[in-house]
Amino acid sequence: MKILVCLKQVPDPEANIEIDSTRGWICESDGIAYRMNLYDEYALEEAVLIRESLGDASVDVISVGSERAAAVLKKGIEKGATNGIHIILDRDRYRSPGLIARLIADYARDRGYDLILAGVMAEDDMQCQVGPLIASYLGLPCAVSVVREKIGDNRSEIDVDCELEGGVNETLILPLPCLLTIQSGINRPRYPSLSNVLRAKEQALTMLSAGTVLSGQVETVVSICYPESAVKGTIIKGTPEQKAEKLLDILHEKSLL
Amino acid sequence: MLILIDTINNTTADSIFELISFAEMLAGTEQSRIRVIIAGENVADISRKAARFGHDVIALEHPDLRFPNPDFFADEAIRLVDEIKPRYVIIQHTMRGCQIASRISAAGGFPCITGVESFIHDGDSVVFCKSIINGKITVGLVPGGERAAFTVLPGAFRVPDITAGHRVPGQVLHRTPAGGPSHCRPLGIRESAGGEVRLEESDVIIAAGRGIGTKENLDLIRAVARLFPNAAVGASRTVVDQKWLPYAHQIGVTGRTVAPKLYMACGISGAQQHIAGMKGSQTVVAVNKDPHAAIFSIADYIIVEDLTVFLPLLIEKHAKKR
Repeated sequence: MKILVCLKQVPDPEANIEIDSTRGWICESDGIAYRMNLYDEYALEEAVLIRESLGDASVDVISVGSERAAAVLKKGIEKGATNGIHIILDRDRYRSPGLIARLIADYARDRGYDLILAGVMAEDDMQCQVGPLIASYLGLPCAVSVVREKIGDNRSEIDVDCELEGGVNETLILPLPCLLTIQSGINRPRYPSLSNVLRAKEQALTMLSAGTVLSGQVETVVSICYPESAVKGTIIKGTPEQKAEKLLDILHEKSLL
Repeated sequence: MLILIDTINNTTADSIFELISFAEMLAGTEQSRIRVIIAGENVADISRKAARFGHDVIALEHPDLRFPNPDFFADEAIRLVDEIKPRYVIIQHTMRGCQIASRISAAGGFPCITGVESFIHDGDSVVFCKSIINGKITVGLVPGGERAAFTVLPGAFRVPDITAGHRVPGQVLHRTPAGGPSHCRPLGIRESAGGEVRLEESDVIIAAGRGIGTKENLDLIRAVARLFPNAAVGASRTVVDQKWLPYAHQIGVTGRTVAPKLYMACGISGAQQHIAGMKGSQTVVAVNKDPHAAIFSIADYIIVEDLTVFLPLLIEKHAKKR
């Protein structure tokens, strides 16, 4: 079984992120830690778990991004991926999910992947599109927000639970090959093993140039700003003790306590 | 414009009709026909309900649509887009909503923007705004070309008030998908574990976010909840992903939507995904040590403090007052 996992490098959302209005994206600075998109970590772990249970599977990881993105592919190998494929783009800026998906779909086409996994969304642009778009371009069935999967004994179908809203899950059966987007919490991503860390150091990535992609009409960023930070509420000030007392007074006044 | 709605067991929450407001506001003064497509196995009732808003409804009915079947629904929607040639295709922002929107946009070669929270008319173009990077930044996007698909964040618009103004009910047409059998087989739905939590019925919700740091600190959240007569413990996605609480406690787009009398957000940063699930709360108190936390923008009372310091003091002072 051949599995492909899509990885994206994202700025740590907890970092102090600044806006670059001329480029319509965020500033690249040394102060920002870049790391693997959280949801992709779960997708990779799920692929590695499948390989461990089947015994005869390979797990390729692919990323479309600037040279810096090679780090997430190395991390992917450290966490157990077989091979890393890097489709290189120039500097980071807003990229239409359609463009990224087309590049990955073009790579994956005719390479015989039985299963393609992606994170349910990227933490930076939060578009939730690349997975389903790849499936559309390749004509594959797709299920999103997967919180459990089990490959059938004859390996011709996969049984999945997808998270809907309000604490409800839906069970679906999809034929293989197919694409799943993985929701966080499906597993517990592992730490790299020493042997895989050493292998990642030695092993070269497959590097491909993005070339020119005709992706049709796209959306463009025309403004970027911090959300209205106008705090409308009351800031409770004082020592921690005073704040606690003030809050209790407010809750009493409102008959909440 | 086309509004696409899917159903679970032929029903959906009334809040789905927020999409009608979005479409009407987007149309503005321009003459634009809005059509609502509702997918399910037998959606006559919900279709009649939708038609009361004054727009025509197409009830798309098939046994394979009894439970969400996004690919199958999208493939028929692609045929409808070809026939009707809408300017915009509008879907609620859920993960499968994004799947449907992506699939339609890929087939038609037009742009797709998900998680839209607002829009502004800027000359001839319309700028659609959405949050990125956990709600820290807002971007305005303009879709190129003649057509675009969107998912709209739940709670961003209000359901139209049909008692105000005269709305002549639209017609309901029934339609069967033309495509072959569905590739995916939806088998059914079930509550995830821990479904006994009744968040929706609680007057007070004390919610824990990433800022609680350790599972042990949940005891603090529970202790605060016990101060109130009818309180429950809620959580952000991070907390349930860590398995510190069952998924039934999760509040937000992928979890529960709540509107208690008091919502106390403890260590919650306030990503739009979370805020969408609790913005209807009457009073919001937010405790976070990060003075820039996005949750503060919707809080009525703001406490910049480490919750492991603040909550024990709150419990202690309350005990003394009694």
